[in-house]
Amino acid sequence: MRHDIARIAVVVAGLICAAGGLALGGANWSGQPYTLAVPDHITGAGQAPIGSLEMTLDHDTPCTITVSVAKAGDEVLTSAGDTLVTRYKLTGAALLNGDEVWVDSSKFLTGNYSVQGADPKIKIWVEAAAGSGRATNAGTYSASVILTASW
Amino acid sequence: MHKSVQHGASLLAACLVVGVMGSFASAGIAVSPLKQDLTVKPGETVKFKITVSNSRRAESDTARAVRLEVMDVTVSQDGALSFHGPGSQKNSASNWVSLEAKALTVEPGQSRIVEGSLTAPYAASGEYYSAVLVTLEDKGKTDKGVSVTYRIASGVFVTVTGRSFPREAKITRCEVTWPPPTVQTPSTPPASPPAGPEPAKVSVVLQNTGQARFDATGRISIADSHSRTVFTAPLTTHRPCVFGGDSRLFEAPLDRPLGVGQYVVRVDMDYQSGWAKAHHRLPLEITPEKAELLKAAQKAARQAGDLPVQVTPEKLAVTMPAGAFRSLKLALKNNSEDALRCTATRVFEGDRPVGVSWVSVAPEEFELSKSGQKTLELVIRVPVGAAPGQHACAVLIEADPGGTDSVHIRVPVELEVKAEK
Repeated sequence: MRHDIARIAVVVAGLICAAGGLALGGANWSGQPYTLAVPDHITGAGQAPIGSLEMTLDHDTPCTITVSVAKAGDEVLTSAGDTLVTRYKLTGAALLNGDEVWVDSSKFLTGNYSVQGADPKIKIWVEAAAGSGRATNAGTYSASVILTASW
Repeated sequence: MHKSVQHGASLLAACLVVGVMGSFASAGIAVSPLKQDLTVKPGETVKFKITVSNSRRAESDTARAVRLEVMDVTVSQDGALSFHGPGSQKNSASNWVSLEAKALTVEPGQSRIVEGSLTAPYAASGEYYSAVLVTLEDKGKTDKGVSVTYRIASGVFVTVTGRSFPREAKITRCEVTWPPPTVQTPSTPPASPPAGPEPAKVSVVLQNTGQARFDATGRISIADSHSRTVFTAPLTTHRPCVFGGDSRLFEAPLDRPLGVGQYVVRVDMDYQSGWAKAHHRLPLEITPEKAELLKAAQKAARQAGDLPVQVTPEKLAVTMPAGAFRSLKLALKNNSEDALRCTATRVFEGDRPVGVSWVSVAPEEFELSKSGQKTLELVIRVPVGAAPGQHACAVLIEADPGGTDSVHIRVPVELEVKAEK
């Protein structure tokens, strides 16, 4: 039953994508902006601000999203060699196995998310915190991840 | 570099980006197909095509540059894809592929077809794999926060004719995993029902011991001590296609109660062989504790399933300064078999409720069709001069299926007004 619903959803998604110009059997990323910003500063101990970025993945065939980095450690928020404890989530109604809880950055890179529903909205979340029992230097912290949609 | 927390608190000024994003042009990248099968004779060449499109979404859309790379692909036991340098894997076809373009600029509303050719070596036979990765070159406007690169992989599955390989597989692992016991803590009732304990599950690893890939399916059945089947369930996986030599994890939740006693779990896996299937038998003892766990998991699943409306997220939290405004979204999904008449109401409660004029929710009345979805927008405007600190309110969603009792779902909203500097 659940698989039937998923198939119907994909067919509906296919019709929507076809109407939007997406050839059958494909996937279409559309997102803006490209940076997943954390809107609040860390100004004291115990703070863990979060940020999120909503993306659109149109697809007319079941697909998956995998997470990777260009080089080791890119997924960790870093500034001049100092790091923040970085956790992520990927959520969305179309994800069969979206994250319900925060995932450590290293584990996030092993994620394999099945996209089957018709809703194209997918959200990536990041949480940043100072390491336990230590202070973090002031600075602008950045990280980068690659989201790959595939068969 | 490391300092005590006591001294460090004042130094904790890790200035993450202030995410005030202006208006950005949308960016899109569409690739099709996501996978294609090529058959080629040894020493011969076959052509293939990949379409890259820049779907027009707004008049302000601009041309987009993409990069195309041919890479090897591997699949982990849980079905995740990884991409590697060309020729680094035993079953790689990447070095046989050449693309007519490695970079493209696609105008809005335009599609570009990239032709590729694949030449199989004379010595090759069997199945080989490669992927064409199409990466959107545009980067974010800032180097702060997390930069997200969008990429789409199009799989190229190659069969070199001349020799046929039988499909072969075996079950290398079969076990029942039980969730850790949950600790009950006295607390106020949650705003929405908890997800409930994870159900116990049967985990099966199927290894492709041959060279031919297959799509595997499977199911479990559980028989009691009288050999009566008391439970059946399909085994599911994130990726049923198993390459030669790979292993794949399949799982089936034990989401129905079983009485105390001795059972046998029978696993049957079909891997598209005309000759054989893979089987495994596993003894299973249900103790009184395990029987209770199964009952609790079923109860939790029923409670979750009985809710006609799924609301995501279950709670909203935002930190903002006085004078600012934010827009938050609530996603609703109708899980019931009926259309639902819904209302969304602001509830002001607690010791420090948000001001009535600070919050608006729209739409306040709407209908959710069967299996329909709706996004509610919650706009919070904190007036200049608002008292800093924690404030709270809630959004109460009432779903009325008509003829039966309506359901109320409360979504708490926590607002922290930052002190002005």
